[in-house]
Amino acid sequence: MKQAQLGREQLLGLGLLAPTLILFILLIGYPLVDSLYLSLQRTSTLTLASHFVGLGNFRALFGDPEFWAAFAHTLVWTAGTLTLQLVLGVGMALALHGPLFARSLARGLVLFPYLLPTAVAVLVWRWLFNDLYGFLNYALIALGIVAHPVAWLSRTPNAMISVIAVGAWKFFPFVVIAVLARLQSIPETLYEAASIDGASPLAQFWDITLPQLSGVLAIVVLLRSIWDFKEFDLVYLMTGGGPGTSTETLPILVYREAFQLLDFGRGAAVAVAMLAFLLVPFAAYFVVIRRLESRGT
Amino acid sequence: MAAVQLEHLRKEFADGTIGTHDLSLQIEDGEFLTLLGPSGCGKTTTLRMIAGLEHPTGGSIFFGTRRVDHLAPAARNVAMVFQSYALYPHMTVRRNLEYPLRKRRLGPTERAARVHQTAALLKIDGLLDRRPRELSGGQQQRVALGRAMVRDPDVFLLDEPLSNLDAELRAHMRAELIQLHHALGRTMIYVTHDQMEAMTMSSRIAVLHQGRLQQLDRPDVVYHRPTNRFVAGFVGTPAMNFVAGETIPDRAGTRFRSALFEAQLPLEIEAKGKVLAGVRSEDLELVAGAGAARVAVVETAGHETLLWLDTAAGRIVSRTGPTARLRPGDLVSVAVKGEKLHLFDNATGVRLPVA
Amino acid sequence: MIRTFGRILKNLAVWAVVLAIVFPLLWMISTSLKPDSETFALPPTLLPLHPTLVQFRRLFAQTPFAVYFINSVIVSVATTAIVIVVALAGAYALVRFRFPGRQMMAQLTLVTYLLPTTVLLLPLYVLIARVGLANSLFGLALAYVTFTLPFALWLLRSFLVGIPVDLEEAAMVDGAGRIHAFVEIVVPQALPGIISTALFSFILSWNEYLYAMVFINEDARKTLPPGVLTMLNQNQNVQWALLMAASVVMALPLVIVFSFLQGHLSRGFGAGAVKG
Repeated sequence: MKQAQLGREQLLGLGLLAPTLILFILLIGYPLVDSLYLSLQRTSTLTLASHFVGLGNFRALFGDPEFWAAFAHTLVWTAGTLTLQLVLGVGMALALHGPLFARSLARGLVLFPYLLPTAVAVLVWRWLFNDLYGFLNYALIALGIVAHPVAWLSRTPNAMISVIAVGAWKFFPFVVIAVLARLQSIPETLYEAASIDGASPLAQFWDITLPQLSGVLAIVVLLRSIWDFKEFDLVYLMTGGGPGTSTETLPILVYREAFQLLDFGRGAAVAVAMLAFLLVPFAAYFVVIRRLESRGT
Repeated sequence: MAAVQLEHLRKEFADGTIGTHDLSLQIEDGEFLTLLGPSGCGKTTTLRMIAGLEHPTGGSIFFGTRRVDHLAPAARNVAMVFQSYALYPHMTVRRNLEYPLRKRRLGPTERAARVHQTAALLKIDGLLDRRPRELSGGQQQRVALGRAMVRDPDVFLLDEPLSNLDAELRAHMRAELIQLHHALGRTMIYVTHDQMEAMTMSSRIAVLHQGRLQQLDRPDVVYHRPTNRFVAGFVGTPAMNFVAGETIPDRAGTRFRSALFEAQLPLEIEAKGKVLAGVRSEDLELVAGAGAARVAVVETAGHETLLWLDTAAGRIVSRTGPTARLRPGDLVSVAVKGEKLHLFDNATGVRLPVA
Repeated sequence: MIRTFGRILKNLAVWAVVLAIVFPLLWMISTSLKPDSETFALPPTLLPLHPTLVQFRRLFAQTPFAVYFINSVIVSVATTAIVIVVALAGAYALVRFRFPGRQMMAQLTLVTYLLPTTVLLLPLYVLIARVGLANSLFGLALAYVTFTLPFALWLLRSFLVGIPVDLEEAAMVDGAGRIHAFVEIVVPQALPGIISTALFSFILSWNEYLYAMVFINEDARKTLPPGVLTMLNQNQNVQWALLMAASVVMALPLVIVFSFLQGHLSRGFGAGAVKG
């Protein structure tokens, strides 16, 4: 009787899970494998190329300076925007944790950039960055900070910097939410004990807040670096990869190869290369999660 | 030296609740003073004001002749043991103990010496390289104590430090704290709602209720001569029995009469009309057979027996020796010696006559 | 005294930063209410001198915006509906039932959530085309399932874990079957979590650009993000005020969702996003 019931329970459980599994396999598992497959082939043909030819895409890619340039751009973009996101995010979280006038309103407002469609964010910022009529140039000139209108998106170092800044603006609220949630779970008595022990507010931040945040920060860094690395929409819509290819990141290269140069196989190869690069932070993420869970945080 | 004086200390919180009303208290240097009372009585608020974690709305705090209520906690040279221990979770025991010394910029050799001395005294020297989460409750508590002791402060503040321990460990730690107090000779201010802790450990007890001081005395005085109905009912387990009655004059002096029993009062006590009489459970004398009380429940606890009696005056409890020959349903008569009665004013609850 | 002064200063500084962050959105709204003449005037005005709704009228009357809007609604609702039903069942299975590989499944959902959309883009394109769903809203919704399902599963799982088993067990002792207990006891309890997850999924679908751009090339079937952005690149003289109006309308569902979720947001992210 018990056995039958257990068996039935198990079946029910699997039944409930089945649609999820099916969709996972169909829409994620299969395409994942297929992308590896595609990367070993040429565009229009769907027949599997020989092994030798198969790696040809990768070999061509790794010998192509444009590929490495895109990789470098991706690293610069990721590192730049991630650093800004962290600084802004932690700072804002600390500010929103302590006493503040209309604090819940502030907490709500700060989240908006993150929830906005990237398309909207891009439109707004491109309008702000507009050389002639954009508000940013007007304000900077009026304040006397610059003499001439700045070309935010059409000049080489500027474009990457602008994109990094907009990326920070768009994604830092994620850091705020994660850090704020953790800050609120630090027991107040720790700070009280430290103040009795003689610690100044700065010492308290260093000795108590930062160590308590280390877990969250590790996770946030890993997650955001993965997501920023693979970000297509923001960079593509801001600059299209330009001027020239100076802001072309790997995701944009995938798109360009597959849909503009019509070399499907090469596009897939770039995507697979991206996946390979991401395996490191992937693995790191799981290691960190496991360590945090065993620590009981 | 390190006598602590509270003068007219008042705390009003932002939402309007009053923590303490006009609290004045003089704590002698080197004594173990317990702030005792039910939750919400203001004892923790008072402790936190002494520590500097709360700002008094009015009044002042002195350490000796030094006025401290404006000073930050770090400047007061107090040490505090929190109910939750508040050990720094990412630091080893050693670093936890060192922390206050680092903040006071002691050199490494001196720090190490003090840490070892304190650890040895508390018998935690084997745990110095562990993290707090690896320790048991009792061990964590000692580390919290150690962190307080390592600085050699003027005043120790302890906020219900034993409440998170199981009963056996609690009894053990009570004894250790008493020994520690003797060894260190420092002023200790202890907060608890457990009157057994208060009774066994304190030089004096300050009983607080709703933000006001009810009585400040040695434990035996608080127990045997409670100043009001609240203190009488709060201190002592099981709680004191209360019987309504009246005091009337007779040929021999004054007599107490109630629905349950009568007693002749000591000569100094005058007749005052209606009163509330308190009787400790161990002072009731029961005679089996007929009577105005019926046994409701018999609780045998090994070394003693508690008899819960239903009477015209309500339910009362009597404490007797281990041999209880009474059973539920038995009738008993209740008697009390007059000098064992505690009489309280019906309206104010103040002890009669006022000592 | 000094303390209050310092506190005021701190409040001002923080709010200055908050306003700076929100400024682009305010500028967006301001521009959307300006006529073209004022939009391209120098110096630019913070508040419109002659506020007008002409841009919005143009948006709906003279551009395919309304079509894009409806398409976005259809796709987002469809994706959310599919994902909620499937993820709820799956999350419940993961939380309440014991079967081999349960742990692995939970880990797996995390992995899929981290996958780059660009990796799946090309094979999904081929797959959707082969099934004959190229250029269709339903095909797009299916593509959206790839990144909304793992996320929803993760979120719902963390919400369900917080519901004590005792309630269902009491219901089952009282005579309800497993599924009944789930529908009548668990779902009402988890409703705030379910709603939060649904709204998150909706936002994710609503905001998506890449798949929408690649999978749909017929203008009448486009969703908002690619549709509005083609308006950007249409002519040399970019109609910024019009685009700002489009942006305002595109951001509208977000605002509605947001005011719904006020308190839930931080809990949802905090619980789901950071924990494993």
